[in-house]
Amino acid sequence: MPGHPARPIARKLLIAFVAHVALVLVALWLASLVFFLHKERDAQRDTLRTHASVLATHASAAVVFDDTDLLTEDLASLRYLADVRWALVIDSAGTADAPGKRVLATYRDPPGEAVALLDRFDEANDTRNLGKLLIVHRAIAHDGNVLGHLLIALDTSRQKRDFLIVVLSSLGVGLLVLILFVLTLRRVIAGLTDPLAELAALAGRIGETGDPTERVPRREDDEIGQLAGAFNRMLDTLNTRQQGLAASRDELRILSQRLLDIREEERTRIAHEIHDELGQRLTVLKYSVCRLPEDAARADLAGQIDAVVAEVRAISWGLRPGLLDSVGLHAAIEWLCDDLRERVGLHCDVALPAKESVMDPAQATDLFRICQELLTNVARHARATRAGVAISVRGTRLEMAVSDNGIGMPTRMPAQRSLGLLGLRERTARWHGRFEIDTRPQFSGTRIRITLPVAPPPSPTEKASS
Amino acid sequence: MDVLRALHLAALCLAVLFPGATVQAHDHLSEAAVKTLLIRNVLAFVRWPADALPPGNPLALCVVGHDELGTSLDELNGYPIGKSALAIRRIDMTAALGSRGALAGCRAIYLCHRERRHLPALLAQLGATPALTIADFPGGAQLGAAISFDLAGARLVFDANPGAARQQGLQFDARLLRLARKVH
Repeated sequence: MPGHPARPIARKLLIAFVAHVALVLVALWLASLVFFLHKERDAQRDTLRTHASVLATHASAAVVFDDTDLLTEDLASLRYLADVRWALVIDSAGTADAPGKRVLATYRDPPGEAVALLDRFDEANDTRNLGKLLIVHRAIAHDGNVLGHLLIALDTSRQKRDFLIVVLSSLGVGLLVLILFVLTLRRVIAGLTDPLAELAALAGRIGETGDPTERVPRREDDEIGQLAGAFNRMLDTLNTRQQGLAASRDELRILSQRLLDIREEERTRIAHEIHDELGQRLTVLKYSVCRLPEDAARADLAGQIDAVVAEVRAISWGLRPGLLDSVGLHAAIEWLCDDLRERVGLHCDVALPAKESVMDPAQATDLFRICQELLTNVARHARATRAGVAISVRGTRLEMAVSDNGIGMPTRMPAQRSLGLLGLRERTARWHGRFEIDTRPQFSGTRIRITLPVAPPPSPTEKASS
Repeated sequence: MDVLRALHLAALCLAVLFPGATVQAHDHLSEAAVKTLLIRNVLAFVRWPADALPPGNPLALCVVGHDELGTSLDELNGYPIGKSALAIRRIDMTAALGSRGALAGCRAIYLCHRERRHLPALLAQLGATPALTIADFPGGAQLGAAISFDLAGARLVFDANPGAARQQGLQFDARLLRLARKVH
């Protein structure tokens, strides 16, 4: 029903959009976590460096005074920092017995080789990465003299692990978001384009086959569903109109055939009247003339009367050939050809089967009239030198072909000619026949073929009722 | 630099027999060395007013009265304290108490246990002279000396009196005070 769709396309798109924005926000949040962890890592290192600097500054007196307890207490403050693995304070000078470095204080059991690490530091203050550990070094000095060294080892593995976890899960979620996004977007687009494509395909099919019963399936209650519904209603309307037109056409066809029949009856009546009435009177006239004394005037008069009789006969024949009713279609067609030759001078051939089909006289009349009209057309428009009529019978189907070697039939004809052809088609259609035209360039001239099933003559009971 | 390192090593060589600042009671000479070391270390963490130590002038450590430390202390001659070099002087008690000018050039005063009763008079005589008063007997800081030494078990410890030091225009480095046994 027309009106607002229950689930408009806009709403679907909006839902999809909002869902994706939410997913993107999740991905951004995770990315910000990565950033945050990175910052935290830097902050931790800065804190450690600052703490180391402060410790080194404070430890100078304790180193000078060799106060191990105080130094140990100072190092213990490292417990407030996360991930500190160990720390130690080294006295620079060493002793006579153990020259080199002497460990003054430790925090959490540094390994034996920790003192040797001091050699790796070139600058007075430095930070070095050694495997899993980050080593911070500070020189303990007073008055410009280096009294000792502070080494603090930071275990970076926990942070690295956390960082890796967040990075990987961010990538994972990001990838998931991307896949979901693509999949749902494809689905949404398909939801739009598939029904449209279906609609277009169906419209194309209807256009080709002209099947009036085909309808578009209505899938969703959205704008496209509305379109499908409207499309179907349009097809219904067209179907109704088409049926109406077909009914009108059938009526017109019946009417035209009726008119043709009426005309035929009229012609028959007139032909008979002319033949009977006029013919009789002329015969009487001739008889009277022949009773006159034989001289030149009588001979001339008799000749004139003969000419009139011949005219009358010709007119009567023109209206309705007597031969058609008495001797049959074949003879009538031969007469048409002879007439054409005499009047117009056109060479006319006839090819007829040996045996004449027994058919309904009305059908024979129509075939005669069709042939007469076609030959008249040849005489008027074709500008031909030869014409021909050929009849062939195969089983119960009869084919009549009227041909000429003229200029051919133009694609566009004046209204009168096209109406004339329409009348011939109607006559053919009455007997369920086919009316085909072959013309230039495929055929050298014009050939019109009428193919129809031979209609049996009506039974005596049918004759009585009509 | 070499002199400094030599002295440093010498001091620590002595200290190896006594880790930290411990003292073996039987060796009188070692005790002097340890005390010398402590004096030197303490001096390193004292701040004199800028005009009290003009460049080129030595930092005079005056032993007033009986000299208990002897040659040990002489090893400190030339030792750099900040931008100045230490110079050991010995002043007779009578002369010190007699005239005001006797102590005028001192920047640090050392008083041994035997001379302890002269501390108040000495302090009065010192006036505003910017000198660090080191009293080598217990309770000295309480009596008005800036630094006093004491034996805690086998360890040599020191007490500090930053107020007394300030009266002479001196200031202790806070780090030194952390190491003091008691701050008055």
